[in-house]
Amino acid sequence: MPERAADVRFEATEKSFGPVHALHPLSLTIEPGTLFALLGPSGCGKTTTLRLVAGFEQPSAGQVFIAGKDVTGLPAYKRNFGMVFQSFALFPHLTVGENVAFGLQMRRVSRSETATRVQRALDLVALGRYADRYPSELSGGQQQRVALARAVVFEPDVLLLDEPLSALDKMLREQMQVEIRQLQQRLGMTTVFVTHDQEEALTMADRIAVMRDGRLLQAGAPRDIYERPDSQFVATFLGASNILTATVEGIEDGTVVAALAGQTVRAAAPPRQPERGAEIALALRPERIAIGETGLVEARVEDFIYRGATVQVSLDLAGQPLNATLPSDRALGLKPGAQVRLSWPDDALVALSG
Amino acid sequence: MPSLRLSSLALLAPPVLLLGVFFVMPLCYLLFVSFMTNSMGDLYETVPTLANYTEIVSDPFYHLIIERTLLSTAVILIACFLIGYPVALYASRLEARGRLLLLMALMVPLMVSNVVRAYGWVAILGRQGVVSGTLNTVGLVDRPMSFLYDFQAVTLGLLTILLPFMVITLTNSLMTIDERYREAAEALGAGPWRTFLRVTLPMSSPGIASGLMLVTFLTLSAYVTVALLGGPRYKLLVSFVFDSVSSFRWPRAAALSFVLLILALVVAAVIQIIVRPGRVKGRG
Repeated sequence: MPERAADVRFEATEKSFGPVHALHPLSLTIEPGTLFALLGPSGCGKTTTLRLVAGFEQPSAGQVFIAGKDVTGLPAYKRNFGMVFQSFALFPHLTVGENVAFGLQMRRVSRSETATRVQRALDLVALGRYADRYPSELSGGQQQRVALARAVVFEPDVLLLDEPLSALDKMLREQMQVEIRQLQQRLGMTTVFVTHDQEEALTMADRIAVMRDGRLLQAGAPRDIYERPDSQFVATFLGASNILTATVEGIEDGTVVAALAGQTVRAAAPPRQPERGAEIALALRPERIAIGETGLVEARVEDFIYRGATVQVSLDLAGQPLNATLPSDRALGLKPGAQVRLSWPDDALVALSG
Repeated sequence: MPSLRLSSLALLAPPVLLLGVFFVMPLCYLLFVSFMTNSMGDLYETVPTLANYTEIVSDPFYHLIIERTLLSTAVILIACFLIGYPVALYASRLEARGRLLLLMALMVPLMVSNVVRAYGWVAILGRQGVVSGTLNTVGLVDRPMSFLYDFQAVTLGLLTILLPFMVITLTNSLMTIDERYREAAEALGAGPWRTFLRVTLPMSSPGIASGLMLVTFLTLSAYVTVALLGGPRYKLLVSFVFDSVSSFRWPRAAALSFVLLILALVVAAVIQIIVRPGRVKGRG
């Protein structure tokens, strides 16, 4: 299949259902060929955003572009996208082959070409010999792959996945995360997927947009978002994070200098610069903290939980609770009540704007 | 698990017993009677004979009646489907309150007795009726005309009774089809019309089949409407079951009942073959 990559662009796109603002004005560009995750808790507007691309919903204001073309107002069947539904929505009265052929038949592709392309798409998802089965005769993972084949066989501009893995059990889900990623890489197709699972988003996506209450909070590469969250919500929604309160002492070239537990610390500055003397929230990932006899600040060990490969240590930092995750062998000899010193790499502490 | 099987047997026993005593046994008895000789004094004379069936099979008059019965059933089935489907489709997409109101409105006529309703049609279709009067006034015909005691009166009368059954059965079936299937078809490039033909219609085939079967059985067994609107001139098979009984030819009536039963089964089989409800194999 030839490479096909289109961009998806939102321009001040918004959607209300009656008095409910499902999506506040959103401006966002999804670059061609990226695997893009819309991540957030339920009701955050991620599904509405996807349905706006599909044309199942029309925006209350603003525009949607696919491949540079304004598709606002265009019904779903006139847009060229493939979609995998949460429940797969394979047609139960059609065989696997007929399901995959459906999109080609709607595009009036000739019978012989349809047959070859269906076969190729089924081979792509390793189900080449299942064309004559009915969906109900397949396992959940196989149904998922048929749904994928059906969505990509007609080379759509964009592939949309609505919580594609939530109907599968954990083992299968992890396997399919890799499979979908590989398939997307091979086809080079711009892909937007909706998920509430941060691990899934981090594993699969090239870029992640974190949403909450109908608003886009932060968009970027997984590593950027994980290491440089700019809000408390993003910091805690993506993985575990300690949120500490400190007082701003000053700003020095992109770094906030703050007082934390009586010590001066440095943290990456948020987009919106805080004022001197203001209270500020700092995010610190548990796995980046080291415990030793030397270090920046002093804390007291409260408790620890053994988790096999790691140990989670609960600490008290001048009245602020703090968790650290250490490799098991580094935690030997720690006892509740012990006074320890904590240190972390310079870039581990991130100042948040909200 | 013997205990489980025992308990499921216990659950099954009452309906099986009920069906056995009040349906299967009488049916067998009816079959038996249908092979007996007619008798003026008794229910039947215990002389086995095939005469009741051979008379029906060889008599061209009965051929005409069977043809007529099948024709009116076919017309009613097609009309029920063509009129009922759009209504059911509309009802299935209404929100719960509106749907309840619509279905209630459809059922109100069923609360009037069949006899009363049939006389209503007499008032509309008769020589002094509304249709005849209107045509006269407009000048399309120059003398009073009756539309009663013919095919159209019986078919119309039955159709109005049976349509609600079709609509309600279909509505329930259409409502079980998840909206995602329609969206999936749209996503694949199917417009509203093709989505309907390729997805909604075939996926509702179990509902179509059960609705049509229900209408078939009700049509073939309807008597009052046929008797009042068909009168002496337009009789269906069921009318002759009644006539045989009133002239005390019980074995003949039994044989006719079996012919009717066979017709019903044949129509049901044809419906299954055309509609193919079995193709919706679970909802993947």
